[in-house]
Amino acid sequence: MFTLSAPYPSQQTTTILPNPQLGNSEANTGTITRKVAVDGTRYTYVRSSDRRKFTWSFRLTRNKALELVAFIKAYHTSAVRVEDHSGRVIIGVFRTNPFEFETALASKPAILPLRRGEQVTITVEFEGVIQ
Amino acid sequence: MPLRVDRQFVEILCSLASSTEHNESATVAVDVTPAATLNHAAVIGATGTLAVTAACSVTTVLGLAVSTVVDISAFAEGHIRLYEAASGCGIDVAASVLSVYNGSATVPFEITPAAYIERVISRTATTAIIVETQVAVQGVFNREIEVEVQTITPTLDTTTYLLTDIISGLDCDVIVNQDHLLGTVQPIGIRATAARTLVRADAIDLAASTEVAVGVGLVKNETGSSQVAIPIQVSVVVDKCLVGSAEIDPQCIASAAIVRTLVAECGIIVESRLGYAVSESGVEFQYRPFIGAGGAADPDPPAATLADPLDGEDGCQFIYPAVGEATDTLSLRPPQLGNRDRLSFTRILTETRGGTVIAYADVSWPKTHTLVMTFSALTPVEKDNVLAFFSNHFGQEIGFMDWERRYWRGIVMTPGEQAVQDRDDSYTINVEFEGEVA
Repeated sequence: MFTLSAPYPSQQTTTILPNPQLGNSEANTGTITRKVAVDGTRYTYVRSSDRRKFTWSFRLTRNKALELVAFIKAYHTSAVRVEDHSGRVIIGVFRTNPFEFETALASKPAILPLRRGEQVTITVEFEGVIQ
Repeated sequence: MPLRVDRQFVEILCSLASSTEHNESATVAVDVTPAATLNHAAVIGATGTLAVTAACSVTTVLGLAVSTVVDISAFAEGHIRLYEAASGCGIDVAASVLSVYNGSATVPFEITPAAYIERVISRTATTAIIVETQVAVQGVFNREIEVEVQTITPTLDTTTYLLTDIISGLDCDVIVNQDHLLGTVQPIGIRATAARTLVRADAIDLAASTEVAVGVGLVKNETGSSQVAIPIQVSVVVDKCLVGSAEIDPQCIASAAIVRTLVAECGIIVESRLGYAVSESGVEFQYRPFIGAGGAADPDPPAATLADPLDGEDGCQFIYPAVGEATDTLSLRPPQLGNRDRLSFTRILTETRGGTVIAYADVSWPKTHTLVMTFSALTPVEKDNVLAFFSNHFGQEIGFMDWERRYWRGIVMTPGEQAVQDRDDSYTINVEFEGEVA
């Protein structure tokens, strides 16, 4: 189970998503700049950060995709609390822009109230700090 | 008759007329020693009165001083009449004395208030004042003395044959002028009593009255005695006196009631917010957002429920115009799977110096929703209709009824998109439609 709650810290709205697809990733956000002096001395300028950048891909039903669309429309500028599939709590913001919801597959049966059964995939980039 | 009289010696020059058988003349020097002098005179009676009146009133304003010196002047006058009679040695002396007394005195009062000011309603101060007064009385004595001068006549005593002086009567008047200076110095005790009322911190209204009784006794040792009573009434009225700084009793108690109206505004807003999530069956698949109580500044939450789909045919339709009666329509099959809903936001992502990422977007900034669709297996007629529709309504707002029966209003962003013939009588075309659900 994957939980999105926003806006942080009031957490007005909570959306529960299925676990992301395999292939999710996370990385540090620190940067480094290397400079070399004329005598060959190497200098590094770093920008360290506690934040991490996460990438998750979800395969959602059409209804859940519409819920996520509404969630993103409402809180794309708000801090979001994420409780990922590992139980970690991450506070951060969405880095994805634009969000592309791709209807990749059809699925049966349809989940009411929609008449069609579809699967929607979306890749979300999220940057935040693990609590 | 010339007569020279002094105090010690009286010489009388006179011519004697005697009737004797022998007509002879003689000059007799008579030594007259007055039997009555002042020292020898016995006072047989004297009456005298000396009335001394004095009045003094002082009205002053006491300043802020520890002591104040007030001069009180008194004047006394009176007269004494003495009657004297003396006798001795055959000389009777009767004298009357008229004395006139004039006296004045200046009495310096030094008032040293022992009263110190404290926060009491009334208080009494007692001041002892020593007045030293001196009254000088100058008296003039006029005395008239009648003296009988006796004439000594030598007479032969036939018995003893000695000459015997026979004293016969001789009268003489003596007038003595003598000045007397009487003086006395007498300390007079004066007790002053001051009553003070209403002591305040800034100004004090108080009144003080002082009664001074001065008794002066004059005694005339030689010729009489008299009593002098000088009543002096001194009243001191102090209108207002400031508080002496050195005399303030430090043990004062001040109480003040301060009423303050305090208005405080607190910028801290405490809000109670409740968010919840229920792990129920199918929650990962259904449209099921959990919406709690948010703050006033929170964005509008998403809709709690999903709108019901509209009934309609399978397929989609482009309609011109978007609003009003349709004049041109284009009906197609639903797009291929793989269609995308592209959400694009205009927002700012900044990173603070501390490393915090802040996302911001104004509510008026655009949010675009783009439908990316691929239509395949179009017949040549459908292909021509699509190209013609897009060409006819190039850049115009059109309506789009999607395959879920939602009506969109927007524009076709790819009017020049190519229609690719992928097989015989089959064309494929990509369409990007940007709009929002009406």
